[in-house]
Amino acid sequence: MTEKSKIFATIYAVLAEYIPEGKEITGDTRIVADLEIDSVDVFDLIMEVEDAYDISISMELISTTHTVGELVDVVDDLIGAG
Amino acid sequence: MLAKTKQNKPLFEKFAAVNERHELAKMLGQSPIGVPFDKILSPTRALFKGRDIVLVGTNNYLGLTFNENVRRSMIESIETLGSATTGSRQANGTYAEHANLEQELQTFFEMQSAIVFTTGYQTNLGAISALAAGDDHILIDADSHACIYDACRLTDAATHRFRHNDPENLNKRLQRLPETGGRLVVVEGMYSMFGDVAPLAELVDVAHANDAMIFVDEAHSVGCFGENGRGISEAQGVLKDVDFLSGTFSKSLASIGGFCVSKHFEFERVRLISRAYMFTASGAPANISAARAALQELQAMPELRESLWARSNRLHSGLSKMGFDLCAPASPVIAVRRPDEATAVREWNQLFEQGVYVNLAVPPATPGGTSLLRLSVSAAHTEDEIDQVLKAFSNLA
Repeated sequence: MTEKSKIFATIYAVLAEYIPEGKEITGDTRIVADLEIDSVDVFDLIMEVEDAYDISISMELISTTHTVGELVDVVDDLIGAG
Repeated sequence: MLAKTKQNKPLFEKFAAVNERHELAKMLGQSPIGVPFDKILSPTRALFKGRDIVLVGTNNYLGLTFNENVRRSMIESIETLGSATTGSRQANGTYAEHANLEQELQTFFEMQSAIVFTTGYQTNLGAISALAAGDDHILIDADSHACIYDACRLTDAATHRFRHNDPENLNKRLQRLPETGGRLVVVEGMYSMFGDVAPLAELVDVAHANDAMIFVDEAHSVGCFGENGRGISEAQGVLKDVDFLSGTFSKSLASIGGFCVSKHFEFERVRLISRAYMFTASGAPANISAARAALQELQAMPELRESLWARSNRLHSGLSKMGFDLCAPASPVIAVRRPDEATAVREWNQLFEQGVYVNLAVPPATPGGTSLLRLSVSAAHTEDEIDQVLKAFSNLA
């Protein structure tokens, strides 16, 4: 399993708490538009991802991150920078 | 002249969801949004279509809006200074009244600097966005008011949220930050929706231990908490440690406008940086004079705080005994958690029909997607009025 696949699995597990069971999630899935997660919940789930990796994702970065794949990239970059 | 061919209004399409909710609320009775009262009879009563309504949702904590000295100061101000300044603080809009109020706030809070802004919203917008920029980091409590979020959007500093009222989580997030840039932690004293209070002493310790400064919004707590009414910072014994303290004139101080005080004299330079301070007209003289008078009354009448707390405890205890799910221990803001938005709207109407006005608070304005009937208590409420409110709640179907 590559590092990005592991990150995707972690994010998938976090997202699962916020969406109906069985909903398909891929790298192209848009977090707000496709999963119908409201903006407040997005910030909460991001906090869970931050805690999982001990990183800090600024709100400005969150606002330009739309898909699950983009979120995986952001986490991967921050882990690499850390 | 071009012929008008089609009513194409794409700008308004995004309003559809809001329209739907608003129409649904109207179907359930009187719209809870912007209730147009015909006449305000006192800090706690109003007329609506000839009906006498008890107001329990005004944030008029000390009940000073009808205070004789406050009203007289406004009238005298209009007669001697006119209706408006018509200019910004940087240009012609700083009168001696503004400067005097700043000096009085600086003295009241025992700080080194005080700046008066035109509204409370602009205070946080202007002060926070001026303090943090570039490589700096802002850490805000997740349940912060919209004006704090909006302030963060105005600056290019990086913004990070930490879990509500959680010093340990703040500590963890501060430790993740790079060494570069300044750090500003922003919290509120009492949170306006739930009425819960920050563990401020711990938050101050965590902020300073991590080389951060702390900014406390005391909009809802000035006048209500602390031996001298100086807010949660005073109540928890950390007023001297707080770097920046902001507040509003539109609640306990019975006017409109806002202020930020600081223990750092360098804060004065915000006047030259803050766009929300520079590019707007200054507070009308009457509003500034009213805030000055209310600040005097706040200090001269500690019995107002005693009354406020007696009424708050009576209301909180009564609702609690009826089994209502209250969001926080007793405080001047009492939030009753309802199972969903439709129930909250229906019950808001049932209360209004019984002559009781409370605030309806629904997502996204509320933390955690909760729907609330939000009450704010005033020192001016009589025990009978509090009992009338309790009776109306007991009648909810």
